[in-house]
Amino acid sequence: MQVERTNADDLLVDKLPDGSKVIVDPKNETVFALNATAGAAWDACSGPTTLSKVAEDMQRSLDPSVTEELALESILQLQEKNLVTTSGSFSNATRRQVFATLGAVALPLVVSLTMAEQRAHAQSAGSGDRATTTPVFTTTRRP
Amino acid sequence: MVKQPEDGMPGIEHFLCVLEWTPSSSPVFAHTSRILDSHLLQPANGTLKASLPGPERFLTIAMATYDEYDATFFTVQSIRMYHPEVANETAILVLDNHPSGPCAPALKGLDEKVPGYRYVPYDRFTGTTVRDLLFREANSEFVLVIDSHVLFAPGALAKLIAFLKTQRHSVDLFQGPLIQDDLTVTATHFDPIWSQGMFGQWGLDQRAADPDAPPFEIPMQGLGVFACRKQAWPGFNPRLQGFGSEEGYLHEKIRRRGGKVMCLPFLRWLHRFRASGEVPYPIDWAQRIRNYLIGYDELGLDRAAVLEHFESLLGAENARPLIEAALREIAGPYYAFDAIFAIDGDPARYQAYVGAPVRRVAAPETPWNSEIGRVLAHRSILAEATLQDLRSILVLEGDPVCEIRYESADFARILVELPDTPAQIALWLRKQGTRGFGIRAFDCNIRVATACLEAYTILERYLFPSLPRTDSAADQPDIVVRVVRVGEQLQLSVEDVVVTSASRAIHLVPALIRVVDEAVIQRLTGLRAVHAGTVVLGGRALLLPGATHAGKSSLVAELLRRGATYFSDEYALIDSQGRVHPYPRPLLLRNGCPEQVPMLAGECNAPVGDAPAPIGWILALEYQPAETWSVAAVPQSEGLLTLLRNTPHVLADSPDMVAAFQRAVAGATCYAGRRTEARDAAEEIFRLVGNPS
Repeated sequence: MQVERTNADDLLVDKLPDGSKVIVDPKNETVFALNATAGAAWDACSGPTTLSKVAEDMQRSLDPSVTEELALESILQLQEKNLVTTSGSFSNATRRQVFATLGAVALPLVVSLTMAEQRAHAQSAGSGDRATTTPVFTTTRRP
Repeated sequence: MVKQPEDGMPGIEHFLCVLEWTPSSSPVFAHTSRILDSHLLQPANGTLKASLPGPERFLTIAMATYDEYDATFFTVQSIRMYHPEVANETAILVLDNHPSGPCAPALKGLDEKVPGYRYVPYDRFTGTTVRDLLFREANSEFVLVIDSHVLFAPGALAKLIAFLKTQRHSVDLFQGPLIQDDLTVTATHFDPIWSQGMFGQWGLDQRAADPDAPPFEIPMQGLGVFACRKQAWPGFNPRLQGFGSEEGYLHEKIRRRGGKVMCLPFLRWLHRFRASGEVPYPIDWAQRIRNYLIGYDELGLDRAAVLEHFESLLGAENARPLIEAALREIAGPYYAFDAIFAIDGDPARYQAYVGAPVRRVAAPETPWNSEIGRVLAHRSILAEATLQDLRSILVLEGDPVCEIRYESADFARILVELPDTPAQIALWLRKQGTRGFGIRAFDCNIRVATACLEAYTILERYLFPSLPRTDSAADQPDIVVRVVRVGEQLQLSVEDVVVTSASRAIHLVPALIRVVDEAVIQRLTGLRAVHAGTVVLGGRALLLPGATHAGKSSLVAELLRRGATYFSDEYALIDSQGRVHPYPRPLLLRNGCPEQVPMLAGECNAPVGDAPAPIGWILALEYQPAETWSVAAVPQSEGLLTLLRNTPHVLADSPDMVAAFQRAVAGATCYAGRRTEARDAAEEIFRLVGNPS
């Protein structure tokens, strides 16, 4: 299985002290939050690579107990968010298998927020509930 | 309708225009003000004014009296006739506790005949603890408080003055032996024994047999005669009203401040007891029990002795309802106030409303504009609160009852702001529409204007209470907040747009805060807001991101009660370094009701932060009352997304926000999950973050 980053040059990537990562994709107007496991997988994909190489890199950078199943789960999450592309065949590990091999390493997690979603949140996050709790709300202007 | 002054004079409006355009330092202003005062203020029938304070003397001989002219007359005149040697070093202060009573004019009239005599009327409440005011009103180093039916042995007062001059730093209470009608010493102190509804029974210590014997310590005594240095006066609990309970209570307060209660054998005094032995007022057991329980509560004494005595004296079935009523009051929400003042109306109605006695205040009648009378009433209340060194007071007025709270920090400032004569108040009210106070809230200049005192007080109290007020004329306002009275309603408008109306100013506050929040947040330049309750624990900020209705305020209030420092119940303001700045609006709490009510952090005994803090924790908690506490750590990057989801700023317009939020979460431990009720959640939070302080 081959793994490669998508739009790698356009992304702004920052690592936080707990090992998690923030990736801003200005072109697709999306912000990603990767936990340390997904972040290690992301680091392992700095160039075109394979799943077993990703797993090895993650064992070095994150935890020696990282398995190929966990590396695969990480890559799939990154792929789901269009951060990496994969080609070739791979064994489709079940989540149960991934859990069984977890050890001290957290499950990979990639969360995204698009600018459109953020805008919607911002607009609904005004000062709140004027319409529901204000007894009278008119827009009568003084003549 | 504008009432025209009589005698063919121009209208009040005309006079106000003259004042408006005349420098307040000019003689014309003073003259016009005086004329206007006489037209604005209805002369009150029979109301007597206090005499002006006289020159400072070493000792004030002070007494409170109630419908007792003859005894007061003889007490005062006996001092003048038989103790002339102290005349130059003493002043006489008479506090009339029934100034509308039949004796008042004669008591007041003495101030024209007796040098050094001062008359002070006081009728806001009745009782023996009005004697606290004697210390407050006295302008002397020492105060000797006596009953208004007491005579002193020859030379006793001169000896007292000579003795007190050796006690310039004393914190003691001084009393003297009581002599009986045959002029022999009958008692020197009270033994601490309960008897007939009173704590203390007269006892005799033979050391007082010789008037030249040295002073000796006693446990307590009746309060017919006692002296104390004015600065050392510990004060009576201002909630006490009616008669009884100060004996023992005062003495204990003196001791707890490091003082002693001393009997001065030379200070012999004769007390006029009524021939039949009756007291001139009915004993109100409810009041008596209440007073003792308040005193015991203040001193942290075991109240069992009070309960036992009154249950035994009155019978348990009679005493218990009185005891329970007093304990209910002590445990009730209004007990936090040192005093509750009620302006106009039936005091019983207010008393039923708060479940506690009130101090009655009659607003001066100002028919042209009743607001002038209200301002005068509020001024006088604040002056009394300042005089008595009260910390927190409640003013009740109107129907339905309106509550206005004042804290001691407000007293002096408001007294400076509020003018003190009817004409100047009329002028001030007139200008309120165009001139109020200003606040610089971050990057937003807010101007507040109202002609309504109630609204002014409420706005002043709740609009960014910890931010300094500015001269509103100095800066161009970004928004103007106005409250005007329209019929029975107060109408709040912002930028001339009516936002809401309500019968009471307090009900305008939630809507006002929301509108002002929006204006301030929109104008932020260097800071970025996140919807999050924010407190500080051990120097680090704890953020509770969440939308309105998420219960942030209740949880913040609980954290404050447990010692956190307040930043905000609604917004965390994050700077480019990732630090959080306080957004010190009042908390808006629902308390189980649909309508919010404002509350200050101080009401939870919490300090308000005044400097930025780094973020220590971000807890994205969903309120699920039916669930259990279930929270797990999440990555800092997810904490960052939480901040982005809860900011009212659009990321596309502020791309630098990601970097600022990254710095904000870099030192934080982030959590997400479910929480239950605020009280339980607050406990869990403290467990989660440890004890940062």
